[in-house]
Amino acid sequence: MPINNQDFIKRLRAITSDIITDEERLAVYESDGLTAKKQLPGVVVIPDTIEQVQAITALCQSCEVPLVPRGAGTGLSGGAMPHHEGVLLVMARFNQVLDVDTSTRTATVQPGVTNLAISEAVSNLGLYYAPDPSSQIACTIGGNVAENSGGVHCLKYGLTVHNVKQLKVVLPGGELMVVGGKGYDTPGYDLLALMHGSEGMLGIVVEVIVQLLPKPPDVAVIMAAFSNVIDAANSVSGVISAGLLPAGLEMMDKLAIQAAESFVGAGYPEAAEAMLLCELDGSLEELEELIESVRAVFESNGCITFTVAFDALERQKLWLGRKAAFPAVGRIAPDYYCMDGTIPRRELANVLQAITDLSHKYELQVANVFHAADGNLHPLILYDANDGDQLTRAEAFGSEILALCLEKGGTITGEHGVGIEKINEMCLQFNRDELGIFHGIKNAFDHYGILNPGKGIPTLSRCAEFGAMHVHRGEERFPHLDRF
Amino acid sequence: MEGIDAFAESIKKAGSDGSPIQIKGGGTKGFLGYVAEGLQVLTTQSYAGVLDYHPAELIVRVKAGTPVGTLDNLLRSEGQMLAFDPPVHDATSTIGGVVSAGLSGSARPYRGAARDHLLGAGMVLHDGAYCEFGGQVMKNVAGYDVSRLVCGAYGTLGLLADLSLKVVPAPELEKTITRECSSDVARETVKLLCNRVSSLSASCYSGGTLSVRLSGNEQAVKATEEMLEGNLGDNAFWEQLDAQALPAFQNAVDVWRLSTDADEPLFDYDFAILDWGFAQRWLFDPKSDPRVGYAGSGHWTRVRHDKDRFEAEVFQPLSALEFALHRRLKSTFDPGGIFNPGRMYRKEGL
Repeated sequence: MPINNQDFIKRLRAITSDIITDEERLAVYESDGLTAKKQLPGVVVIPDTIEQVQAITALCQSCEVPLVPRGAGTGLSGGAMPHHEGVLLVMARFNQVLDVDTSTRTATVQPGVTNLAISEAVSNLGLYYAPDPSSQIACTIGGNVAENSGGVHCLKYGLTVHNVKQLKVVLPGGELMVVGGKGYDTPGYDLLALMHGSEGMLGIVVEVIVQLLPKPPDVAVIMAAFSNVIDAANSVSGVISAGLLPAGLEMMDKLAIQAAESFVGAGYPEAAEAMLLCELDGSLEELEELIESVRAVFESNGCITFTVAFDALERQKLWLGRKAAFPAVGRIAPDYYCMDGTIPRRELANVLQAITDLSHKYELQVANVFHAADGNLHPLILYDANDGDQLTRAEAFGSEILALCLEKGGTITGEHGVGIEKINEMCLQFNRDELGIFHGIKNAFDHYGILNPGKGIPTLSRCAEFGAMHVHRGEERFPHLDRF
Repeated sequence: MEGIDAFAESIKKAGSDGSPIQIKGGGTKGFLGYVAEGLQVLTTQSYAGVLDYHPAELIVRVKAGTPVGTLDNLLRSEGQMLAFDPPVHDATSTIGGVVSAGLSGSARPYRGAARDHLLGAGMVLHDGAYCEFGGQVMKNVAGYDVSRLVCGAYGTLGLLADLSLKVVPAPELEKTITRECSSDVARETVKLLCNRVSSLSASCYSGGTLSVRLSGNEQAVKATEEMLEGNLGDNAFWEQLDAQALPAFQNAVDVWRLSTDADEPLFDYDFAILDWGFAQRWLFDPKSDPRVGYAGSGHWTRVRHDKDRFEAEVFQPLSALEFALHRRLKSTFDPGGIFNPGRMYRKEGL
């Protein structure tokens, strides 16, 4: 059914009056954090209750109208880019922390609650929610589940999937299903894991129970400067090889350091070619020992300055520069394109060098600020969308970085998701059998294909069009068949 | 022909003959789930060995038939380990079996489950195709999380050929402390330890004794130890518990597992082992049917039930909605129903 069908709108309005149909207000929702991809939604719906979400979903399925869920719209892969012929389901009103259970250290929250608001709500109890994407001030827990978001503390405390106990999910037919539970496992297949990172394509998350952690008694943040990127990269591998498990270990290169420093004045070493931020937690006695171990590794890899911050305000200032690095880079170039690939840690130095080479090839600057200990790269490609073919060059540059990540045994997305952005690169990472399984899973949940269509998983014909298909073990399967 | 190609041939043949197969590693988990009679057995035991291990990456990629003990020895030689205490029922238990059954040991509440450490899986599908999901990096959100879906699916979705697991540095020191106390005091003690950053890595209450394991560097272990004021116990206790090798398991005919919210009230069981900080409860020959008395937040599993194993459901049944979704997922992966039919839910063919 076409989205502008008056009967459809009328039935939608019968469920909730909070509907946006005029172009001016629809334009607010035309993109998520990936602003290069824009699309006006057919209609925006802003429900208040789970029952309304169920009714809207069931209506969309019965009319075969696409439905795209949206949290805060901070996603960087276009996962919440609207569908022109579809409904954009805005979950902003689901913004309450419903319950905090100190006994089991869990919080029951609505999906529109921001990541940071959870930690703030339980801070006075000495608890916090561990995964902390840089956008945590704005991004919602529902979106975190959809993308299986990470953050700077993943290495020690895990991703969203490791810190969520239960979800309430509305299925495409409008049914409400509980996955997971307050215990440590559930019978049957692990649908809780499957929902994480499914980019709103299998169901709509309407309630989340997160696991909270006790705040560590003491925390130290080390800031270390290096005269070249290779030394910093080797220090990262050195820390892990030494059996140390920091709470966070982040790297920034010169351009990122300078951008962040001029933006927030965190006290970063502007002359350095690279710096590492290393967070350690535990008791004071433990920290002393850990800091000395990290110092030994860094110094043996040529670190030029090494400072430690214990004070909460000082630590916050150091992290502020890191967390504000993206907008900071946004101030030194009209546009930037944030990539998100993961590689084995041992390839860090090689890949960073290759990215520098690509930067020369495409004549575009690149700033690196990333989760070094996880091998999760975030090259920020600087460009000017108003200047000729710069966007096209930036996209080609990005695609080449992702192909490089795959070549080194990594993945095209560590934590930002595939969305619409990396749909072509999915053809490089997965072969047709693997994509077939993904389509099968999608079909098992969403037979009519109404949830977030066109995202996450490419069709085989799209891969043929892209001109690339993952070939496993050097052989094409079914070589006798014509290609599409 | 051997390895993956041999698996693929056997699976394709099973499909074309319409004769289902039982996937078997070391064959030590026959007590879990329903095993149909007369199936052809496809064993992964010969497909063993490490494919890739760089200790500095904290990742190991290993063939499914590798014995858990062999893998553990390798990791320990590099000062590393699997964080989730994979249960080793005997020397033949394979890592593929542990992951397929989704089994985690005593450390589960404190260091995460098997699925939490599974980064990738290579599978042979129903048509013989070898597919890889996830990968060999810490963070990866490309495609649906099929590797975690396969963890705990009891081989009903395909043959797990190889797996990539996150490993962690082994703690400097591990100590087991025991203390006689009431169940209320035991529960409060564990909760207290959980609510602060401590070195707790396992906890179990049984027969009036609370046992906890502390892991970490010397200062951290010592600090918690002093707080507990208990006696020094044996670290081997946890391996025996995880392997269900303690006398209580061996002497019972009918063993039940309840997995629940740790806060769930205790029932009047004759004898139980309360593991995972009271969230995993083992019941031995209970006088009343746990399915009747139990209406809590969790679920039950019949673990050893020789008496009527071919009649009763082994796992708590799912809702109609969940079953329907499970059946659709099963037919996506295994349209011919050839992999471990009924291992989880006999009536549903899952």
